[in-house]
Amino acid sequence: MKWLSAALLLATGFQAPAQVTYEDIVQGPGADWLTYAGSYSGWRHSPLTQITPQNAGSLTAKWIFRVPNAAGLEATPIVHDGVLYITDTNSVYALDAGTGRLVWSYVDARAERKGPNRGAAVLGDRIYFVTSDNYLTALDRRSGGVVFSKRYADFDKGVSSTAAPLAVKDRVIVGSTGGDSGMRGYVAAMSAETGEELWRRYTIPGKGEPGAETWGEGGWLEWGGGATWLSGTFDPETDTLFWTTGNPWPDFNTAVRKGDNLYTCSLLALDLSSGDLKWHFQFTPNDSHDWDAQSWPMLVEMEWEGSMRKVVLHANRNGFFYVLDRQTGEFLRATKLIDSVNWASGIGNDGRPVLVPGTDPSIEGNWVCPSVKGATNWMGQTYHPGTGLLYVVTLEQCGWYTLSEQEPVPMANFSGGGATEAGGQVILRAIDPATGDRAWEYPMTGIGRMWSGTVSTATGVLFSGDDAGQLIALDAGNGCHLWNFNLGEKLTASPIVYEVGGRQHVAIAAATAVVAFGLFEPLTALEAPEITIRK
Amino acid sequence: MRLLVLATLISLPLGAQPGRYVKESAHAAIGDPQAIEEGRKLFLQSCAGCHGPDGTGGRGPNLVRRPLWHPLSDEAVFRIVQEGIPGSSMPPSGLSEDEAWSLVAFIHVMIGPAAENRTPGDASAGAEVFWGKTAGCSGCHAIHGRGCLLGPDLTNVGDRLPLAVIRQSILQPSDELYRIGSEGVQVRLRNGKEIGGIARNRDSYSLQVIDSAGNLHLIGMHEVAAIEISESSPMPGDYAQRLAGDELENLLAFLARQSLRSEDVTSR
Repeated sequence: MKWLSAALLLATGFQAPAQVTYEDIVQGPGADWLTYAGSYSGWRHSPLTQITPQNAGSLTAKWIFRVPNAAGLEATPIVHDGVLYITDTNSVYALDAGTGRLVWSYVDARAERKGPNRGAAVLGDRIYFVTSDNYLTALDRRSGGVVFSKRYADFDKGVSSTAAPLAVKDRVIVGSTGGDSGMRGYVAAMSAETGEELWRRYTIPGKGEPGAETWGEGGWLEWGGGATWLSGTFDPETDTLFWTTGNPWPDFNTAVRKGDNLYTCSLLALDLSSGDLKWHFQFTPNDSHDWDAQSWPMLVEMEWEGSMRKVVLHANRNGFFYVLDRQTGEFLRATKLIDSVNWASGIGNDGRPVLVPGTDPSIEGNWVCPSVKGATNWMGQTYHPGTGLLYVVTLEQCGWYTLSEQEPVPMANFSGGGATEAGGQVILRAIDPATGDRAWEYPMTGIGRMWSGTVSTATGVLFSGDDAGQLIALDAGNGCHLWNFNLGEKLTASPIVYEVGGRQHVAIAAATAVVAFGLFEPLTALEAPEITIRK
Repeated sequence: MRLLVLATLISLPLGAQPGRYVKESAHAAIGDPQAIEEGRKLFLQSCAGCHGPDGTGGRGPNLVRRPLWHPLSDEAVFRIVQEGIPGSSMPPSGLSEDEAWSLVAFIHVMIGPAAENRTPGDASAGAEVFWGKTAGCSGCHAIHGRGCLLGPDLTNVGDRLPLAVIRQSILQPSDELYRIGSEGVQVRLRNGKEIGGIARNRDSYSLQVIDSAGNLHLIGMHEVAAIEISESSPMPGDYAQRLAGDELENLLAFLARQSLRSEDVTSR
């Protein structure tokens, strides 16, 4: 036998590379799941049809990948060309999506921070993710080799990174984390080729800039919060990014930041090429309850007062579900997302909350609903184009909000007060965006603790994590239970749908492991290959 | 059956961590350039005879590779330097406390990531060796996305491995350093197709192969008629002869500088 190399290199070197293009991502999910929310519009909806309400009862686990050292995975996987990419703190794992076997891993052992990581982006032949200490890292999708790793922010300014980047055209959009401890939030665009910064849009105005007057005398502009810790959505027709912003800081003490505190607790419409602000809408002016606006801005076209209109659907942590005009940001309607809201009697025609006195944090404490966790939060939501419904995991919960009058101290876990949470119930709700009414709801009976969301399929199956560690399947049309599987861990990530080897899969990151499911089929016995081991 | 294996690949241990201490000492000598230089002289005088001039062992154990498996704290090394290991041929050093800490400071650097080491070679000349045809490193390895995807990526090798381990990987690639994740394989499928490359992973039911063109092959074992696996590294074993003059030292200097965190680009 002759040991050769060149012949074999030639023999296998002819396959065309399966690069991911911008157009692929615009097209939305199919076999692949190419971006955090599946599509730029944020729908978390798959066109795949093998799994149906009729056969979902025979779903079974196909593989499990234990992520080394993981304790509370928050990432949504992405899938391309048979490989599933999952992230954890400062690390990426590339798995054979059909078997769960590790292809490569990248662990940045030198990172100076640890924190949750919510996922990766893919474009061309590169996987992009952010380290907790603010490096945008580009890895070759096939080998895990590092193409670049560039720092874009100092964490000594209170900024860390957790969000999945969003890859669009020639750039990668990153966010900022740390708003509960004082920092100045931003959204930034980096060159996908080199990692160089193309623009940075701060969410808190600088001194003298428009909006600075909404922070009162001597406002804490440099530490005002407005973090951007969740990925955003994108409208290819208008080249507009839709990005939500977090709470103002200090969270609970408004005395040191009198005014609306622009652009916190807002939705920003940003020009992709320049980062310029096209419009903004602030859900919670002068927020005093830590109600970040981090929840998905879903881009939908629907009938509104007799004609089709491009809108943004947004279920907010403050307890209301909003419909905004996508081109202008005009407020169209807000309805109650949860029943227990007590801080505002409604949202006025100007889009501002109609406040109920006595619901701000106080020294003695005030009982306010929603709780500090919010009526919903960053967990994945789904818009199903077939049913026309929006599926949102909601939390009916209240809490005591208290106030501290201490002088604010940045980067010291100082929040200007505190909040408790008590009891509560997680309810998965299907909302008709045309009216704001509920089509159905699925109350959960677990312990009310989870950060997991949803994904749907064209056949009308809705998957969700629940609050007792179960992955569940419901009929998207009526909310009826179809299937459940006990993952045995608290769920803090949302499921996805993909296809590999001609078979539809559903995958979710539980606390410590990624688990993939598919329809039951008996295995055929394996005929062992001939194996030769050469010294 | 005719099965083929690649023979031009470099192998570095994929899973190995740089030689890190369990706990870094707060002693002033650790990280102090003067103490490290003093320690280097002491090491060459008193330790190199048994442990080798680069710490990779001889009559005494390999100090560089040992921490990959059993890391010691600076304090533990200090205690061994001072007291020796009773019942073994490791004697007490007889050094003063300051001298012993200087020695520990040097050992700390020596077994740490190559990027933190002083390297005698010329890194820019080493770059020419890496990208040049004689050594052919980039025919299998990539740095910053340039090169081939078959062998382990070396973009951050200076941060991942001690200098002596990089040296050993070049000169004796099949010696201890070789493991699953970098095996050369040749696969013949039941449909007659042949696939060759590096098995990034394998078990009895599937294998994941990357070929020299950078294609990933995700293969179920039911598709496979035969597999040939090489137990020795696909990397050539003749670099001691192939690299002339200062080329090895220059290449080492270049590789030692491949450190992501030392090239921090923008700070805001």
